[in-house]
Formats: sequence, C-alpha cells, structure tokens
Amino acid sequence: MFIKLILFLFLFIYTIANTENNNDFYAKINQIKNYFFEYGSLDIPAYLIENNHKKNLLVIGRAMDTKMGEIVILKRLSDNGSGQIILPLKDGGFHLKWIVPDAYKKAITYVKQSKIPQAITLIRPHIYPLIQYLDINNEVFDIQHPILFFLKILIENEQWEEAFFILSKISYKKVNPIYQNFLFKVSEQFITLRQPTLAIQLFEKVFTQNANLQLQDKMMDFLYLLMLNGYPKKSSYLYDKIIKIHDFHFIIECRLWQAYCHLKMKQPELTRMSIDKLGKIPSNKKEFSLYLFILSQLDTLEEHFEDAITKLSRAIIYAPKDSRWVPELMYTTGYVYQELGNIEASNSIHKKVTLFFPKSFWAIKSHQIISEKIP
Amino acid sequence: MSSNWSTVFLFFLINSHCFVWGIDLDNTSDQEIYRNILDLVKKDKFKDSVPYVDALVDRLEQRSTENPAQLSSLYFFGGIGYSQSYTDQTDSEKLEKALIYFEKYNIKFPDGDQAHTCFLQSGEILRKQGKWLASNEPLIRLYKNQYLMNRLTTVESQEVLQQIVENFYIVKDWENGYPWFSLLLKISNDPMVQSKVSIALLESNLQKDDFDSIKEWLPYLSKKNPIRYDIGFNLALLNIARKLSEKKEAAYAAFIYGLVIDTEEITRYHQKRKSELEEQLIGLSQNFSIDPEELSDYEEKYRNKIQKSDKQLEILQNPKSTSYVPPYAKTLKWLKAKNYLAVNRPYESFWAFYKILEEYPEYTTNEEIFYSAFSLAIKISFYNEAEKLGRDYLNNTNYQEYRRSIAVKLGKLYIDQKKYSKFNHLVKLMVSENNSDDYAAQLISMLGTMYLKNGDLVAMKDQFNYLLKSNPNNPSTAGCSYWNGLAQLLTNELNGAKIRFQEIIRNYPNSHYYPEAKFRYASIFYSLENWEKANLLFEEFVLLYPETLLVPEAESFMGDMDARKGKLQQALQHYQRVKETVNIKKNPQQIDFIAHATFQSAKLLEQNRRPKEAIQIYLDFIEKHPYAKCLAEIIYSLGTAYEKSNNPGQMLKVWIDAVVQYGDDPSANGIDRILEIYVEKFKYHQKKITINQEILKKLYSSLEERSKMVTNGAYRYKQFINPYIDKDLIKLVTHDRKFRSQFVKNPEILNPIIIKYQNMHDSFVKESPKVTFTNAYQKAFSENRPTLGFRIQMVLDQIGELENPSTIIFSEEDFQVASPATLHWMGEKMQDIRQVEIAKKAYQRAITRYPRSSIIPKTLLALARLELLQENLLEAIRLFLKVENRFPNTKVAASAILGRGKILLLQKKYPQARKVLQSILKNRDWRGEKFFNAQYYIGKTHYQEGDLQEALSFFERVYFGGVQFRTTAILSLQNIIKILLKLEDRKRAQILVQEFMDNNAFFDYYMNSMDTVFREAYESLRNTYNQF
Repeated sequence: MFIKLILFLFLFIYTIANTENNNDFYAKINQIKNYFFEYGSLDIPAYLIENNHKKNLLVIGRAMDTKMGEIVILKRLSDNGSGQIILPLKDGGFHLKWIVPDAYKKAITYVKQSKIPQAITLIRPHIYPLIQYLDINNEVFDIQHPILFFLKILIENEQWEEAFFILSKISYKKVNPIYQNFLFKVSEQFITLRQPTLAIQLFEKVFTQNANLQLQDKMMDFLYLLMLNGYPKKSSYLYDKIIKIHDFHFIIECRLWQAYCHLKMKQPELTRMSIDKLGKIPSNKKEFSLYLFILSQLDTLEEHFEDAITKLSRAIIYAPKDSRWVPELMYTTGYVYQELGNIEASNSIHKKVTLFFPKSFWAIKSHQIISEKIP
Repeated sequence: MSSNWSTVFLFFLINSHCFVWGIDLDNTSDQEIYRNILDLVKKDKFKDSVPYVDALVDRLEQRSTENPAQLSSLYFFGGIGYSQSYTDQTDSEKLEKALIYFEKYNIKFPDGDQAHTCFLQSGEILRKQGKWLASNEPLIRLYKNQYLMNRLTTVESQEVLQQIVENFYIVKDWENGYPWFSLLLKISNDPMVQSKVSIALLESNLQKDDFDSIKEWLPYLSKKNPIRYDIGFNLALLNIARKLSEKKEAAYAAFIYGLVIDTEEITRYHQKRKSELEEQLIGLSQNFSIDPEELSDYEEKYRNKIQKSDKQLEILQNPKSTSYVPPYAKTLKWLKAKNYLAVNRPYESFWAFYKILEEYPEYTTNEEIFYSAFSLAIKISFYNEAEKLGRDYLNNTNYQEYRRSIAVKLGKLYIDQKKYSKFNHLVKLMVSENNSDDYAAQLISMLGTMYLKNGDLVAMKDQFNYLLKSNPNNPSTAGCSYWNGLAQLLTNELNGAKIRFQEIIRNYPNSHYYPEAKFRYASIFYSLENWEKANLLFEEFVLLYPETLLVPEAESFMGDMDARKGKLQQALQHYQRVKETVNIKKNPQQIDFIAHATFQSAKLLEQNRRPKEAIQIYLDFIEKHPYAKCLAEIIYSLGTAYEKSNNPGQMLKVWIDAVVQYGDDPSANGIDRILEIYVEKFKYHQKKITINQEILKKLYSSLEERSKMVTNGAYRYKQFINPYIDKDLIKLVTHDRKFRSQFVKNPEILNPIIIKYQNMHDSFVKESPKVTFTNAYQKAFSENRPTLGFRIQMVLDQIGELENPSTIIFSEEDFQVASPATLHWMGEKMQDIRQVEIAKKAYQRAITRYPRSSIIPKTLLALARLELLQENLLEAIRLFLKVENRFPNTKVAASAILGRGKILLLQKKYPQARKVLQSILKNRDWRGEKFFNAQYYIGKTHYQEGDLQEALSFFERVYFGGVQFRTTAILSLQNIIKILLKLEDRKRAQILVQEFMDNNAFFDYYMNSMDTVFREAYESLRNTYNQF
C-alpha cells in the first residue's frame, strides 16, 4: 500500500518535472504534495450498510490481493480497533457511506458566506484521504460529491494548481462525467496562463478512443482555445489525434480548424489547399458557416473586405446556434465592417459579442474596440 | 408564503381557558363562543368556526368596551376561515368577507402579532380577485413597515417584493412600478428573477422612450437560466423587440431579437428537460447519499419542474389550449432579417431572407420575403443570387404582388450585366403571360432602350418583330410596334416605320405609346423632307400634347425646317419655343435642346448679318445656364460671333477668359477648340488690323493713291491681292460707283472703315499669345489646376514657346487629368521620344474617356498608326476600321483606308489592298494628298506582283500629277526609275532624273525639309544621277 503510494507520488513528481519551467507552479505543487503526504493516508470514517444496518467503520486503505483482486480494507470500530474487514471491489455489492464530518458542514456555511479560503482549509484534511478511492463507483462508496464540492471551491478560488493536482489523479473512465467539466475548466485556465503543456497533460487524461459526443465537443472547445491562445501547431497535432476517435462527430469541423491553424501559423496557402481538399461544403451542413468563416479570413488577410463581408454575413446567418466559432465570427464581422467604414454595424456587432459571449476570448477584444472608440 | 399555522394555534391556546363543543349561539356567552372557536381552530377547522366568529364579532363590535386581544384573534380567524371556504367553494362572497376581516385587523391592529400575515392575505385575496393594483396597497404597506418585515425571512420578504413587482407588471403600470422593479433587481441574486424583472424595466424604459437605459438590463436577460426557455418570457421579449423596431431603435431591437428563442427550440428544450427530470426523479429514490427525510422535498421540487415543462409544452403543442402560442420561428427570422437592414447590415439581412426561403420553400406567404431578398441582393450586388431569386419568383405564377417590380428589376440587372439573351428571354416570358395589366410594358421599353443604347438596330427590329408575330393581340403589341417602328426609322426604313406608327395611331389610341408614335410619324415626314406634312403633324402634336417631353424636340424640328426654308422669323420663334417648353429643373438632359436652339438661332442671325443679336443669344444662354456642359462650346461660338461683328479683340478676350475659367475641366470640349485656333486667330487679326490700317492710312493721305486705285485696275488688283485686306473696302473701291465717284476727292468717305479698324485696334488684345499663355501656365500650376496647365503647355509647345520641349515626359497620373486634345498631344510627345507604350496609353485614355470629343478620329488614327509601327497588324486594322465606320466620308476615314491598304500590302494581299485603296480614288472629296498616296500604293501592289507596266502608269500619275506632294512624288520617281531600268529604258530614266535634278522646287524642299523619307530618296536619286 505504502509502496504504491510512493510509486504514485514518484510518477506524479516526474510528470510535473517535465512540465513548464515555472517556479511558481512548482512551489505551489510542492506545497500541495505536502497536503497529500499529510492527509492522503488518513483513515476515513464511514458506515457500511448491510441489511439496512449501519456499521460504523474506518476505511483505512486499498490494496491488491492475489485472490480477490482489488480490495478495500476497513477497520471495525466496535472491535476495539482490532478487527478488519476486507471488501473485494470487483464484486461490489456493498455500500459504504461517508460520514459527513462537521468540518464539511461548516465549510458549506463558509462558502455561503463567501469565505471560500476558510472552507478549503477546513475540509482539505477530509478530502485528500478520499482521493485514492475516487475510481470506486459512487454507489459503492459515496465520496464523489465531497470531492466535487472541494474541486468546485478550489476553482472558484482560482487555486488552479491544487485543482490540477487532484484532477490529474483521477481515472476518468471510472468517475462521474462531471469531473471532465472541471478538468476542461482547469485545462483551459492553464492555456490562458500560457502553460499549454500542463493543459494538454490534463486533456490527455480524458482522451479516449470511445469518447462520447459530449466529450468530443469539449475536446473541440479545448483545441479551439489552444489555437486561439497562440498554439496552433499543438492544436493541429491534437486535431489529428482526436479525429481518430471512434464514431467521431466533428471530422469536417476538425479539418476546417486544422486549415485555420495553418492560417494562424501564417501559412495561408496551406489553408487554401486544405480547404480545397475538403471540397465545397453545402449550405445545409452545420460546418458551412465555419467553412465560410475561414474563407473570409483569407479574404481579410488580403484586405479583400467586400469579399470577406459577403462570406461572413452568410456565415453568421447559417451558423448553428451555440457554434463555438460564433463569437470569433461576430468579432471578425465587426472588424470587417469597420474596415468597410460601416461603423454603425461594427459597433453593434462588438456590443453584441460583449453581451452574448461575455466570457469569451473575443468579448475582451470587442470590449477593447468599443472602449477605444469612446473619446 | 405558507404561514406556519401551528405557531398561531399555540399562541391562541395559551390565551384560552376552556373548550366546549355544541352551543346555541343566542343563549351562549361570549366566552363560550370564543372557546368553541378556539376549539375548532385547534382542529384546523377555521372554516367551521366562521359562524361563531361572525356572531361574536358582531356582539363585540356593537359594544363600546371591546376586548382588543379577543377581537384581533377573531378578525384573524374570520379571515382565515373565509379564505378556506373560498378555496373549497370558489365563492367570491367568502373571499370578500375574508378580505374585510384581514383589512379590519390591519386597520385596528397595524402592529398586531398577525398584522404581517393579514397584509399578505389581503394582498393575496385581491390578487385572486384580479385587483392587481389594489393588491399592492397592503403589500406595499407591509413592505414599507420595517417592524413587520423583520418578522419575515429574507426569502419571504423577497417574495413580497416579487408580488408587488408582478402586480405592477400585470397592469403595465410602468411608471409606478419602475422603482420596485429596480429594487427587486438590486436585491435578487436569482438569475430567473433578474431576467423577469429586467423585462419589466425594459417595458418601463420603452414607455418613457428612454432607450439608453435599455443596455443596463441586457446582461440580466442574456444570462443562461431556465426562464430563457419560458414561452411567456420570450413573447414578452419579442414584443419589446417589435416595439423597439417600430420606434426605429433597431440597434436595441437587434439585441432583444438576439435573445428571443423560437418556439421550436423552446419545445425541444422542454422535451429534453422533462425527460431528464423524469430520469433524475427515478434516480433520486435510488440515491443512497440523500437523506430519506429530504427525499420527498427533492421529489416535490422535481415534480414541480416537470409540471412547468408540461405546461410550457401544452402552450406550445396543443392548439386547443386557450393559451396556445403558434410557432413563430419563421416570423422571428423574418423580423430579424428586417432588423439587420435597419442596423445597416444589408449582407446579413439578405442571407437571413435567403435562408428563410431555403428553410420554408413551401410557404405561400413567401412573396414578400422573396421580394425583400431579391431587392437586397441587387442593392448589395449579389447578382447571381438576385437572378436566381428573380427567376424563381417569376416562375411561380401564383406570385403576383411583386411581379411587375421584380420583372423590371431583373430586366435592369440583366441589362447592366450585359446578359442580353437572358433579358430577351425574360421579355418573351412576360409578354407571353398576356397579362391584362401589361406588366411587360416597362420591360419592352427597357428592351427598346437597351437596343438603342447599344446601337443594335437590326436586332432591335428583328426582336420586336418576333414579339409581335409570336404574341398577336397582346397588351404589349403597341409597345412592340413602336420599338420596331423606331428601329426601322433609325435604319432609314422609313416606309416600314411609317406602317408601324400608323398601326399604333389607328389601333391603340389609349396606349401610352400613342403620342410618341404620332411624334415619330411626323419625324418620318421630316426625314422624307416632306416638310409641309411634317410641319403640320408637328404642329398638331404640339397642340395635342403640349405637356409632353417631346414638345421641345418637335419645336426644334420645326425650327430646323423653317431655317432650311429661309423663314428666319418663324425659325427663331420655334427655337424660342424650345427654350420656353423645356423644364430644365425636371429634365436637365433637355439642356441639349436649348443648346441646339441657341446654336441654330445664333447661326441664323449671324448668317443674316445680325451678329449682335446672335451675341445676345449666346450671352443669354451663358447667364441662364452657367453650369451647362456645353458652356465652353457656347463661348467658342460667342467668340466667332464677336469676330463677325468686327470685334476680334472681344472674341479673344472671352475665349481666354473661358480658358482660365473652365480650362480645368477636362471634358469642356469648347476649351480645346478655342486653344486650337486662338493663336492662329490672334495672328490673323493682328496682321489684318495692321495691314488695313496701313492701307487705309495710305489711301486717306494720298490723292494719287486714291486716284490710281480708282483708275488703274491692275494696280488695284495688286494692292488688293493681299488676303488680309478688308472685304468691304475692296467691294466699295472696286464695285460701288457712288463710293468710287467720291473716293478720290473726298478721303473722309473712308472714315467709317478707318474708325472700324481704329476700334478694332484699340480693343485688340495687347498681350502676345506667348505672354498670355506663359502667365496663364504659371498661374494654373500655382493654383494647382493641372488640366488647364497641361492645356496651356500644349499651346505653348505648338507655338514653339515651350522651354526644352523635348525633355517633357508624361506619366499615367498626368493622363488622368488631361483633356482629350491634351491627351492626343501628350501621346504625340511621347511618341516623339519613342515612349511608345506611354503614348498608347494617352491615346487610349482619350478614346475611352472622351469618345465624343472631336479629337477622337485623329487620336484613333494616331493609335492605329502606332500599332502599325509596332507591327500589331490586327489591332491596327481594327482601329482603322473603327475610324472608317464611325467617321465615314471624312478625311480621317481616307487616312484609315490608306492605313489599311498599307497593311494589306505588307501582308502581300495585293488584290485586297488595291480594292481598299481604290475606294479612296472613288470619293471626290478625297482628291488631294490621299488620292495620290492611294495611287502610289496601288502602284506598289502592281510592282510587287511584277506587273511593271501597270505599276509604272500609277507611279507616273503620282509623280506628274501630284508633284506638290513632294514625298509621295519623289518615292514614285524612285520606283519609276527602278522600273525603267528593269525595262531597260535607261535613256528615259536618265532624262527623268536629269529633269528632277534641275527642278528647284525639289532642291529647295530638300534643303529646308526635315522629312527624312524625302531626304533619303533625294540623296538616292542624286547618286543615281551621278552614276548616269
């Protein structure tokens, strides 16, 4: 058990050591490691529910048994601490219920009072011991909620490194899909913090050939953000990777984004070639709008603004609702209208970007443009 | 707002002493009744306690000594009791009674323990009664009472506020509601509440036309929350957006439209949400982490949510539902499309309309959308899409409302795009529809105009003929007849034209082509020179249609006819009518008629020796039309009128003024004409004045001279041979007997002529052209008037007063501002310094930019010669042919034919070359240099073919007949010598060379000319002479 823990830590440290050379990040990670050493192996008070009876226990660890496979080891409190119960995980069929500590309840109160740092400090010792059991089905051991809660408040408090630490320990095939949301949120944050390798590291944790539609969509969002933040090469590489996902829903979109990556890498001729290779996309396809948008970017680059607006306007009207490219599409349209001297339309569009996509990369840029125009 | 009744009971139980059941009210004491009431209340039987409460309240209120504590309880129980009765029986009287109790409580015990509940209950009852504003009275009193509000939880107090807001919203009392809306928005953290209240605030702003505040609420509306998918919420948004559009606040409307979610999406949302909630509800019971005590609460919440989605789906999907909302997705898209246009985003607007048509192709109400999309496509130059939409619309015969407009616009588009066959097809389609409204009329007119503009008269004739034959007795017949007739008229097929116009006059008196047909019919007689008939018809036309635009033209025709017949006064009257009938403000293009009338009447007056009146006519025009395009032309003619009135000084003065004033306008052709002859005229008149003054002085002062002039014819002839001598003087001295009889003795008789010349001398321009133009040149450039500058530079160059003329180089930028004559000169200058490509560009610019300029024939010729020089034979031929076709029977046409002949000679197409060149020989007007040149080249063709005798005869004709054209003559002689030597007639060759060498004219020309061709030929012949 201990060996396993050491090995795990070693691997983790090795991974971290190969990430960005960011002193601040390492300093924080070292601190988080201490939390792990300090709290990671603490026993967890729980009930074992058997025949509608609750047995008060301590969950003290998990191990690999040659006969039973993976097991959870429990300690009976009623037996003066001497008796152990071993539960094989592969059979399931038992229900462990985490005894909610008072600290947890108090932490919730703190959160309600917006005292998030206090809440984090308070429940951290109770959460770290749970992490190693995260891959266990919530019905078997109901610890998903507290960990999610902890992650939520970490993210809310912008403690990205600690969130990263916890998220990088999760086996995503086994946990609630909601963890993926946190993972993408944190990884996207690392992109904006200009630490793409960390972001990609997290991204690869969720990567699977069998990703469902929702996950595929999130991956697409992630890669788009990566490209926008100045990593088109990495993005293009990953597009190639995800396109191989079984039953992938975004093949054409992926190829279009790859073409756009070329443009971001200042290789417009490659963009044109890639688009030509795809052939003309009909107007009833959901990617039609993106296709027009990328073509318009080529026009914009060559300062053929009349041609660009012809395509952009159509792209706007034909864009499926909530398409990931809509904010950029609108921003670009605003820009092109400005170049064409139609300031009224330009302003209106930039305002719309800030209003409808306030958290997007483009809202900031649109806001800047609007602010610059105000004398 | 559920009150915790158990707390209430406890309160009253503490204050009670005994509990008895079953009492006769009349014979029972107050205390007993009260105990009974309490007993019932304890059992939550408020409803049953009502009769007792009523009875006891009656008793207590009638007494002066009330028990306030008891009465307050009774009011409260009565209110609750009647409220419960209402719930069961839906009896409005009960509700009213409940309200009375609660109100009594609040009046008598405003700070009572249950005062807050009674206020709330009053509000609730009034809401149930639909008395929204009245409901707000107790609620606001409660909300403003901090003491009572402290009894409520935060959630409860927010609910009070929400109710107040709702009441104001329902009655649309935006003004009084506004502070409450703002307050709720400030207090609430719930995005749903924020969204709802933002709607109310938006409405308030709209009511007050306070559009700037709208943006404050937009962020609350755009937040993602379930209310966004509430149909009522979206209808409210849609309504607000529409109102904003109506108030021309399209930018804000655009934001709101952007927030509206359509019915289809709302339906999808609620279907999905419902199934997810149902799934979660099932999963809830299996969730071990939920406390069983909390489970039912959770389940209740889920059921409520499911119920809400059900309600929304009912509204959206069940047409029988009273609150059914029909789908508005298409309407929303349409409104958005229209709004895009209002925010100056025509491209999006177009695509939005276009997409609606794609998405809803089967809708019969698409006509307006079609029309909007089509019109926009034209506006934003999406011509392919416009064509498609126009065709689709017209192909659907059910569509009628915009048929005419779309057909006309599509036709115009085809014409603009030069898609003539498509336009023809469209006209055929529309004519064939045989619609009684004759909506093809405008297309027919456009078709005719198109052919006219393209000068394609044969096709015009054929096409209208085809339409007439294929659609007999059609509403369009008159139009087709008219245009066919016009085509025939213009191709000089006057009889055919006459028939067509007659058809219209006879059969279609109500057609709008009728007046025009009458006019054209008259003009046929004009062309046939049947002026009497023509005049009659035009007179009739003017009388019948005095208001039509053709009247000035008719007057103009009549003026021209009278002028030709020498009826000066009548002609002048007609020209005057032209000026009177043109409405220049309405029809500015008709200035051409006024200009024509001005020119014609002035010329007539000049011809009739009334130059002063002619001058006045020109001056009138200049005064009335100072911005006319032809102003410079008018000033040019004004100058010539001054010249004819013996005032050349004034001519030069008005000319140079015009040059300075209008010279920077490259399209002012008159300026080029003035500059072309200014120097020549200056020199001529200067010399003329000097010579005449000299001779007049001599005649005046010398008796002998006068005597000789009268008596000695030979002497007189010698004196008057000078072309500058005044014609009047010659006439008087030579032919006027009376004058001659007095002339010798009385020199005073010369005084009028002497005074005339003295005046001419005094008023003549004192500056030399060199000074005039040098000053003007410097001024033009200092004032940054490049067009004028280049024009004057050209004149200075032509009079040899330009410094370093060979160093001038022009750029394409200069060509942009140059006038046509200047461009021609620039081309020549560039050609001189072998900048052939730049020269070509100058010529091309003149040809394409100023096709109607008088210099163009010469420019075309120069360009053709340049192409020939570069051996671009095909292009040269094309240009020569263009000159021949556009300017037939002119001298430039002769030059063009000659050029073409030369090319054919170069191409060794001798018979063809001869055929072309012989056409010059046939035209008597071309006798002269061209005539001999043509003969020379014909000779060359024979020579090349080896027909030496024939060649010799042509060369001899040139050499002997056209000796004055030195170069052609010498080249011919060279060829003659060659042929003679070949024919071994050395002797004749020797004689001819000898004669040539003895001819001083050739020798002088050789000594003085810079003509290299001539010089080389001369030197070659001199060598031949030496060899002989």
